[in-house]
Amino acid sequence: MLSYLGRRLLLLLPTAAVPLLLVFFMLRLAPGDPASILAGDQATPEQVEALRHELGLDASLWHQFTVFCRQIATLQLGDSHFLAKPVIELIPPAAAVTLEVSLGALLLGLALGIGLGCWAAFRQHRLDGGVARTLGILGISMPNFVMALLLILVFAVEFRLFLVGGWVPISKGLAPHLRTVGLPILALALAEAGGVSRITRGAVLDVLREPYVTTARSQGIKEGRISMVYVLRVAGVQILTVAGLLTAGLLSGSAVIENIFGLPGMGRLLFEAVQRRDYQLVQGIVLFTGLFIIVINLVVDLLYAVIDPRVRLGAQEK
Amino acid sequence: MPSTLVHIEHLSVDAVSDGESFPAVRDVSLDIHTSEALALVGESGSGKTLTALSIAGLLAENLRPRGSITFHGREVVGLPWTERRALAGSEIGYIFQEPMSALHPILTVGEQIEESLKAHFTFTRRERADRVRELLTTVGLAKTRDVASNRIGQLSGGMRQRVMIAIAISCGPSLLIADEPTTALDVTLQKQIMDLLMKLREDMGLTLLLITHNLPLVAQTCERAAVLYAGQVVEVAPTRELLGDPRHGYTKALVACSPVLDDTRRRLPTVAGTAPWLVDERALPKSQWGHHDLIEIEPGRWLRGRDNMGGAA
Repeated sequence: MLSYLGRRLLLLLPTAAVPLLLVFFMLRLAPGDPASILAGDQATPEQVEALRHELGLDASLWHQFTVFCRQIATLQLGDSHFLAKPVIELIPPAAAVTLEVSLGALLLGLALGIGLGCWAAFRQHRLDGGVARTLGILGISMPNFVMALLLILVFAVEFRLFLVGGWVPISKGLAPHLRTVGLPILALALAEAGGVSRITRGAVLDVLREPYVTTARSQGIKEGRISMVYVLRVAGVQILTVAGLLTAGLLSGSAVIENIFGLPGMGRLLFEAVQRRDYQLVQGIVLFTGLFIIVINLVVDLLYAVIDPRVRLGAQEK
Repeated sequence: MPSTLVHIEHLSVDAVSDGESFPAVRDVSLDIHTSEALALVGESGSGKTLTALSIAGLLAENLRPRGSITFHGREVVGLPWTERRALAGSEIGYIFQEPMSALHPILTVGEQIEESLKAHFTFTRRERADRVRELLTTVGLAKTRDVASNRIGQLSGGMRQRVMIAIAISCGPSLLIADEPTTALDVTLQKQIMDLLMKLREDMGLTLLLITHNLPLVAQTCERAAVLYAGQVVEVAPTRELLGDPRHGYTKALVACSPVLDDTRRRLPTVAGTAPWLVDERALPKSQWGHHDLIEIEPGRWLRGRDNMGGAA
């Protein structure tokens, strides 16, 4: 297990480099000049030029790139030009909001999706199984921002259970905090649950047709235990793959949701940073997001080895 | 008169798909006597496996049994699965043809045997582990600790089938159903596995229902044999008499197809057609072999239709 982990960790480095390279060059290829945005409408060309020099943007692309690489290597992310604060201080509070919403939505979405998918599969030929299947399709079909607006209408405007938008940190009390994060989490989770339920249903139905399930029945094992031990363990590998992909999707999904609900998360921070051509901040956020997705992938790979030990054995045989 | 363990009366199994129903097993009546070895013989699609699955209650949802099967005098057709489950594994052990697909790919051998024990006994963890190793030894496996921690993909074909047998006998069943237990194995392994089954049968006093289309195997192992054709029992007799003096046209054709050691025939004859009734219901044998009652022509010999004693196909 340790050698497997070590091999996976080594692979992280090249994986992390690719998105960083991409974002560095894409930012500088994009139209719009950070110095002139920062200097404002009233600035003279001389002032803009001075600012550009101050930010190091008048240097050659190659020179900027070496500076960028040095920054990454020493884990210094620089200062945000626009907000005049170190990037390393801007990201954590925003990341905390995004992670809370995304992870909350991931767990809730997985629980709802797996439950719904199993229900649809185990009761395939019954009416309620069909209802569960239809609910899953509904979840996939509805974009999360539409879901968000519907939820706001019902739970915030009509029943006043949650706030329409805004952010109350958990330090101000759990109940007020939940009134602000509840709907964003639910909106993301419901959309995710749809996809998870479809995959779960398909995977479970596949496994239920396997001869070893018949063998388990011939042994007189209880249906519930067959479902948990024999079926879900195998179907779990497929579900896990999708969960990993969905988690990456949740980060981008939460950018939309953060804007709808006015949450001070990474999605909003990134959106604003791109509009201001705040190179350092954009790079910092992309680095952080990239690392997060890589870590999620690593966790998924490790979980594969836990669910299906053959994954680990296969690695050793090589 | 031997006592009856399983009594099948007018069993039919309908295969239902898209609202259409097709009789895959038609009006099978058969007794399995306590402690005997009975062979169920017939070509693919003749209903052997479906008959056996009906006894064990393992038919898929789209297969609907009708008629009656009693096990130890208790009616089991239509019994809800919650009650049926108590018999599965503990009273009826089932050996499937392909251990590779019939055993779980991720659970270890030990875990899979333990699931049977957990379902029917209240053993401690320690007792279960001991019982697993005892069972693996019984089916002729060495290094039981290693085998128990292996997954099925790590074992050889013969070992896999031994594990399958260990699961089937784990709770001391009275009936062991072996559905083509040796078809997936090469000839030397076939003999070893059959020897093992015969030994277990003797040691544990098992009743054995052997499903096969291997007639020489039947001759060596079973006291009685029932021949199935197109979902019907066409002939039941003590094995020696059935093979030495087949009465039904289909049985005759089947026996004629089996090679013997000093065979001088250059080509073996074949039975015409391949289960044509599965494709087209109109191909079901009607006037020729079907639509007669199974009658006892001599003590212990049953035959469907006296006039079927004639020629082979």
